[in-house]
Amino acid sequence: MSIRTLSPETPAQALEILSLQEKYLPVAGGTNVLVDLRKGKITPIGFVDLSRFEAWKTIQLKGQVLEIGSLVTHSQLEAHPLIKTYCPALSMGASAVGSPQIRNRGTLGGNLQSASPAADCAPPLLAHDAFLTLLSAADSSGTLKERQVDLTDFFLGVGKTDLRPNELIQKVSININPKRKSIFLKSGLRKALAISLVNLAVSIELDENTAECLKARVAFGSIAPTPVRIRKVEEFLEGRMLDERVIEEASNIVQNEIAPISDLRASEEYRRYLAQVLLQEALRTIKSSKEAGKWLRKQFD
Amino acid sequence: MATKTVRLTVNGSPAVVQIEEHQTLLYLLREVLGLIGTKEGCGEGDCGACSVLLDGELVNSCLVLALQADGKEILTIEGVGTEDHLHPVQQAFIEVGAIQCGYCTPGMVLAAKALLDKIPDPCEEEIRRGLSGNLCRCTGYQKIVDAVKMAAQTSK
Ligand SMILES: Cc1cc2nc3c(=O)[nH]c(=O)nc-3n(C[C@H](O)[C@H](O)[C@H](O)COP(=O)(O)OP(=O)(O)OC[C@H]3O[C@@H](n4cnc5c(N)ncnc54)[C@H](O)[C@@H]3O)c2cc1C
Ligand code: FES
Ligand code: FES
Repeated sequence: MSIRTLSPETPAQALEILSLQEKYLPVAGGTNVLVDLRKGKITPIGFVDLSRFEAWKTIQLKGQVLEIGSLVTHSQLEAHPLIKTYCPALSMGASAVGSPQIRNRGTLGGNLQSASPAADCAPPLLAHDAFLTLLSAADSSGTLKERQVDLTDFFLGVGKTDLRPNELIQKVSININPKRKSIFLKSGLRKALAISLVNLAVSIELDENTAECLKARVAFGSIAPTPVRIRKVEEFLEGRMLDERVIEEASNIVQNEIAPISDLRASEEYRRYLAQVLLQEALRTIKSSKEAGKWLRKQFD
Repeated sequence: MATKTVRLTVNGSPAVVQIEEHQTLLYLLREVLGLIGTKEGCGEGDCGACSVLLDGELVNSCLVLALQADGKEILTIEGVGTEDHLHPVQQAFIEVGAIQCGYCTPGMVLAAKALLDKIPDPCEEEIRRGLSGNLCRCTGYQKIVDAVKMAAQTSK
């Protein structure tokens, strides 16, 4: 095996390489790439190491937009105050990933681009209407080409995304809304290193006075080839009060809206059941606590 | 064969190595530098036997490209304590009897050290979470958890 590894100092250099070399694969944390290489699932002729782009490792608030660099690790996502405040489900999702070792290396960009149906960062970001900024090599004027894609349009199938071979994910952005609370729940087989059987993120904007649900997002992982939003449930919840009857009804709708797979780890019926239970638990938690911080504590106690 | 130079610091000493470009940090440590305290179990991130600290962070060295360690500081089990002065975690592992075959031990010690560096007085849940990337097929984990608790006490 002879694979070149190039370690460009800047994104512009990396994009230049990718525009010329079709079979060069970007590597961020390497936690997926090196496993795939070992298993013979990929046969690149070269790697482009992204790990030197310090500017892509930051989380910042620009006006009303929360910008998360694609090289931010799960450990950073888990602990960062801006993520905990404005996108708590993402902090919870990242904390549910694999092990300390994987959380210290695995990046947000790698998590999304791997396009696993079980990726733990995907449902939280779908529930916050996240969008991606994708870059490709400079045109004749010398500026890098930029394209924005809604995360809902990014996932195309198992391991397939809308990213072109000459593009890189630069950052993931969220329009913040302090009234929007969110939660992430995951059910796996073992506690650590468990791939989700089903994972779920819900974000809800409640009317402070009436407790009516103004906006709802419900996103599941592991129940379809890609992480998905369940729009029928969202539409049902919007305009209603979150009471027990509504919560029951919402979880019944989920039953009919999803067609999970059966595999070695769980049957279709069991996944359906898990989806229902997780949704009920998420909505009840949101109802009983108006503060995102409280939910976080509930999760980890 | 495509090789490149990697300059890094291992256990406090600078090292310059020539290595194939697709190789891992684990290969660099074991096969190039001969530091065989770091073990290879699965090679896929599941077992944690290859755990080392990279700039103070716990990582699976089997999932880090050697070239990504260029300019970084690595701590392996060989640099954790000396025979005369064991690290409190190592001492506690011996006293509690948290070692059977020993294959997982280097990785466990580094995971425990990384945990205690961040949380000096962890609760049981935090200990189990801190060690959750390290498999042990012999001990059943309880003695390892107890050893970490003891190390936290003696480090105070
Ligand atoms: C033992 C183990 C347990 C795991 N557990 C979980 C888990 O519980 N939950 C979970 O969600 N995941 C889990 N994972 C999967 C994985 O580690 C994470 O999803 C991680 O975030 C991947 O990020 P990375 O930076 O390591 O990706 P890499 O391996 O570096 O890259 C993955 C893919 O993304 C591409 N890529 C990376 N960055 C970019 C970018 N900026 N622009 C364009 N393309 C890019 C690469 O070319 C490659 O195709 C686990 C993995 C292992 C090995
Ligand atoms: S050998 Fe690296 S995790 Fe098992
Ligand atoms: S002591 Fe044998 S694997 Fe842990």
